[in-house]
Amino acid sequence: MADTTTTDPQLPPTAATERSSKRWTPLKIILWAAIAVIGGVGWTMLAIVRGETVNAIWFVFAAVATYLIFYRFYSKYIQDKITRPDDTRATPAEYLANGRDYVATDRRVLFGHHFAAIAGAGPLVGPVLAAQMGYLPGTIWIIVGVVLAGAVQDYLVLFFSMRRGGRSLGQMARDEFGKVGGAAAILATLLIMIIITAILALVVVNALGESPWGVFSVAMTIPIALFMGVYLRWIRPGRILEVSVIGFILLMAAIVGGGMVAETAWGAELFSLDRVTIAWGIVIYGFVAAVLPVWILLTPRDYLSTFMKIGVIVALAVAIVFVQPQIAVPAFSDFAFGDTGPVWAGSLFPFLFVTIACGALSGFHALISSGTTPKMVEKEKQTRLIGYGGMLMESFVAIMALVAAISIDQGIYYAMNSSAAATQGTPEGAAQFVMSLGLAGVNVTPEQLAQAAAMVGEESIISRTGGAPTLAFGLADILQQWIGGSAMMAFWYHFAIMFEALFILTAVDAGTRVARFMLQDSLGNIWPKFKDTGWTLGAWICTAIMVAAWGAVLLMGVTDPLGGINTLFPLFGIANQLLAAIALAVVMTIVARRRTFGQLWIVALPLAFVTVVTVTASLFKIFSPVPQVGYWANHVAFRDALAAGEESFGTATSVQAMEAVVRNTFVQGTLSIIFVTLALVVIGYAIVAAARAFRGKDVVDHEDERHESRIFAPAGFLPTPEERELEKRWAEVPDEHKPTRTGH
Amino acid sequence: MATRGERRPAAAGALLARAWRAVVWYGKGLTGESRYDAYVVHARAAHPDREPMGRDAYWRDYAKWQDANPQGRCC
Repeated sequence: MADTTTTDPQLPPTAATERSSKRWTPLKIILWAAIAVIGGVGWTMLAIVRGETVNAIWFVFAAVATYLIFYRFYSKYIQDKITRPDDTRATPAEYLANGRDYVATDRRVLFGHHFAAIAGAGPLVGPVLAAQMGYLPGTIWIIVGVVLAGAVQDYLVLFFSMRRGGRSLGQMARDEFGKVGGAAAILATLLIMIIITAILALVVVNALGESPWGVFSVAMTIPIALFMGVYLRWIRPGRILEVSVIGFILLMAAIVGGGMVAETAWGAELFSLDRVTIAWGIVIYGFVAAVLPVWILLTPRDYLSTFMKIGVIVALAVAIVFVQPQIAVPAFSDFAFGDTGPVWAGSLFPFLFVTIACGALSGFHALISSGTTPKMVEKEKQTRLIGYGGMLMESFVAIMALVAAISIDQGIYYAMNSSAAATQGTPEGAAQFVMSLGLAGVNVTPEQLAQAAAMVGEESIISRTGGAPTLAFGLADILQQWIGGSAMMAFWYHFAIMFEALFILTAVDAGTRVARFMLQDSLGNIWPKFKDTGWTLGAWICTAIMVAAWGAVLLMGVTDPLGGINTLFPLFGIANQLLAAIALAVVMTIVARRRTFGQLWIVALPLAFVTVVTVTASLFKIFSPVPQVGYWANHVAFRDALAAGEESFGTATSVQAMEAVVRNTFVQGTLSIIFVTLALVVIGYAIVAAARAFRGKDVVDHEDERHESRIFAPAGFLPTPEERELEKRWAEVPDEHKPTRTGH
Repeated sequence: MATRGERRPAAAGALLARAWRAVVWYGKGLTGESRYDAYVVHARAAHPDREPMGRDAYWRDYAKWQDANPQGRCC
């Protein structure tokens, strides 16, 4: 029998030894060989064969086989060498159980929970923009990046935070680096949250601008969420599943209704809003939503968003396997070798690696992995499934988003994603611009573009930058081939827009709240009154400051004469990856201080890579003489033009627009400098700490003291034979001896 | 609880019912609805001397706690 000790002689063991998983039966060998072969064939078809068109199914094969192999072998290696979980040790969910946030949760449920918290619009938008370089660079980075960097970060942050009672990344940074290093990490986090919130909001604004259908259906989510909030508060408290189903039905009705409203004269009149108006709407909404109690808007919308997220992702996966779209995008496009692509400017290295952040490596996840999830883990060994496995799922979402983006016609892709300054915002201008790019095999006429817009029930699809509309278009095109045919295309398009808008709005609301608390905490060091988060005036002031900060960046993006997304998106990616660098730096310090130097490379390698990528990208953004790439080069060029008395320059057609460019590039350039400086401070602290640990002898570990576990649960999705045996023995324990297992 | 394992030939109805229960169990876990049941178990064990909060009171208290402890959502 697989046994380890337990303190209570009346209880079965709390940990299983893995005997069966160590044995290599012929069946297992054949299974893993088959997975390896499938993955190999997938990669060969994508990278080497590359016919005229590529079947989308190969993306699925290459991705899933790689994930399985790295999950089974690499994450297991990390578990054996670095984390070394001990299931006889209680997790915070057990020894700090409070029935509120510290709640031991079934691993399968927690997997879904964690996935829903980490996956948002990021993995959907980044790959769409990266498709400008062809499909191969993005595919390689999403898959290789996740198994070696992204999933490693998520897993290790989750594990170490769990060992520290669920402490946040900021607190861990303070523990490891002291006051200054910790403060740099917290300030960087705060700034990064502002920029990320702003750019996510910009994606929504771009998707809803001049789209009465989209505006109506997304606006309807507010009354729907209010209704759900009231239902849960007074009508049937706590019946979340039931209200989620009702909300989902109402949401579908809102999408269908949006189509009808947009066709009426008054509907088109009332809901066709320009992007500046929508941006102001989101700023005001963001403030109101963030000061209201969560039960009114945030929580109910979160339920809807979880439903939509899982539903859409499953539907897309099934549809891709069924429809198997043919991909005509080249493996490498012409823009892969230059630095002035129309969707976003910059060379493949380093900008591809910041354009695709979420899905390959996302620093933001470190905030989730050191937030809610570590307080809900039931057994230490489950962190591998939840942390590493959860991130693999997100990567798969990114691959599907990439497939959706590259399955649409190239001409349409560039017409949708080039800035209005280039396309003039008209089908004629867009067709002319796209043809002028001189891409092989790309042909598009104004009629085709007008027809594509009509198919999705929109006035126009020209220069709908930001990724969300392109993804919605691709997703609608795939889904209509599976269900409903072209008559359903417009529904699916708005379904996808709604899906993205929902969780971006939740991220905006939640991000503003979190940032407000961080600001209150920081200001509290100077004026202690601010520490009191129940103080309404303080809460309002700090919320207003945060909303003003991201609102300013948002409005800057919306009105930017250079196009907004293409200048701001790199900043978003850089910010996110710098946060990843900070998280990995914290993790590396912890690993070094636990004195597992032999495997330090597991963390040091991704840390070095992401540091090089983000620092290079930042330096390009600060110092590049190419105006499309360097913020300051552009700043100087426009300033000089203004000084020379010119009245139009580049894509800016008025003095006012030129002044806006000067202002915007100044802000963007300054932010770049601040981000990279803060991150380098933190990384410097980490390197010093790791070097000190190497020279020292003592194990330094800030983890909580050990508590003996009194519960048992399997580690993976499916229990091993030993675990099943133990589960049976635990089931036989009479109730009076059973420790409380406050699981779901 | 959804338990795996036993594969006795069962009537299609019973199988469907089990699948339905598993879906509901998962849905309640994912949305956090089962948090209340977990709380009751916890409260009974940790504070046997007092009666746990009712569903209504628990969710109000939880919402209040959430107001003071915001959690970020990812991008």
